[in-house]
Amino acid sequence: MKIAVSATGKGISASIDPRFGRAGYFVIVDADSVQVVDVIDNSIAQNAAHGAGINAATMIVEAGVDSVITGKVGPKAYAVLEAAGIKVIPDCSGTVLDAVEQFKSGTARSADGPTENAHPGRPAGQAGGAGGGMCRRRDMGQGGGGRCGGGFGRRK
Amino acid sequence: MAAAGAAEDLAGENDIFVSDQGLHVMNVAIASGKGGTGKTTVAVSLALAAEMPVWFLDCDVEEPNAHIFLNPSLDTSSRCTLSIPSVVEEKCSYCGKCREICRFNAITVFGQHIMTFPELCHACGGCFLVCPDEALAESEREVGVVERGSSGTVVLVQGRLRVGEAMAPPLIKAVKAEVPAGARLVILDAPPGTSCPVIITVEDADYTLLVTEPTPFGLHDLKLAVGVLRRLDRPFGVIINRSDLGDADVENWCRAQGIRVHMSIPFDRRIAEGYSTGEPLIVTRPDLRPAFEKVLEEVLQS
Repeated sequence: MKIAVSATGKGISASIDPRFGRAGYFVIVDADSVQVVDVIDNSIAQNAAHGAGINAATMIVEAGVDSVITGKVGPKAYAVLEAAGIKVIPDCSGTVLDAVEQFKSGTARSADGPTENAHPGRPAGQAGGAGGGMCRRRDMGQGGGGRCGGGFGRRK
Repeated sequence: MAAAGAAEDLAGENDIFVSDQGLHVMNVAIASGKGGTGKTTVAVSLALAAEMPVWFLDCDVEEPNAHIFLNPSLDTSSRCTLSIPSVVEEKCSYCGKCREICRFNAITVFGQHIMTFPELCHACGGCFLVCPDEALAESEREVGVVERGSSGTVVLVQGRLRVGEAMAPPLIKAVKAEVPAGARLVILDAPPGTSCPVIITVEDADYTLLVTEPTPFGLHDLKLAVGVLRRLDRPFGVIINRSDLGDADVENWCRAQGIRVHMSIPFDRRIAEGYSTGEPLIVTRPDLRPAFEKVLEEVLQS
């Protein structure tokens, strides 16, 4: 049985990346041998203006895993994983190894829905270009995102 | 588009709004980096100061407000929609070509599954072109409505984005498409910021007036807006609102950059009071009319 773990690095001792769609990597671990069998570089999804979760979830599905261990997962990514029959175990932290051990011990609980609400894009400051990715904002420092990367939106 | 046809009909009935002398159309955009600097206030006063008929386009489709000051009878309304894919699953071979071409992850294919995420679709039409199975049918997503009405010598066109819709540019394009050939003066009231909706509004303007205020925040965001117009290589100038508050940094910066400051509007409580009752600045302060006329003259001669 193969498990995908969202991670900040490529190895079994890498930390879990709390974000599913914008995780750095997915470390694919064989649950029986606890060996890393594959690593998915998620940089394409990570840098997508939006739809990162959909992109990441599709790659996970194609990797043929049975379960996903992650931190937070949004509704679009969850919809893809659910359609593919992949079990999602959210709210995990620590290392990839910890999570897999926990999974094997049966204490990890799988999700019956997304852990997050939809959010429309990459948050400010991660868009690469100046000004962040927010399309429109009313006040400084507000969260959220925009459909259009680059530039900044409304603020008063 | 049906709406554009209607605009031509209206123009035919109201010849004063168009020129038959082949005069060059002048598109003047009013923009700003920072919100709340007075774009609509300036745009409305310019429209009312013009000696010729004006097409006033409220391109701030997330919250159009020029109608409050121009008070037209908005008697025409048309829906603005985008063509987005819906899957005819029995024809789909799950080849994944649509997924590959979609830059917005609005459609994905895996195994024997295909899923669409309509709210992410930018309606580029790429998936329709690459699908070898004719498995995608066109369906539509309403982005908002385009409304039009006239008030005196001003025709107001405004977009109202559907609540929940995030994509303003297609609606702004539809608002701009309402202007008939032969219109002489078009004033575009832009949304704030420097993102896509602003670019769409100012990208083909003959001149853009950037309204700012003499504060550190006003200057900071003015610099961003100036960066956009320089990148677009479009002519622009500045209007400083509430010019007697704050500091002289905006003025000094404009001078150092060789940017023309067309007008400085003083702070006046009466202007704010008039605004709060829907009264245009130029009505509250008729003494400023010559200054607005001068700005128009400068812009039209630029």
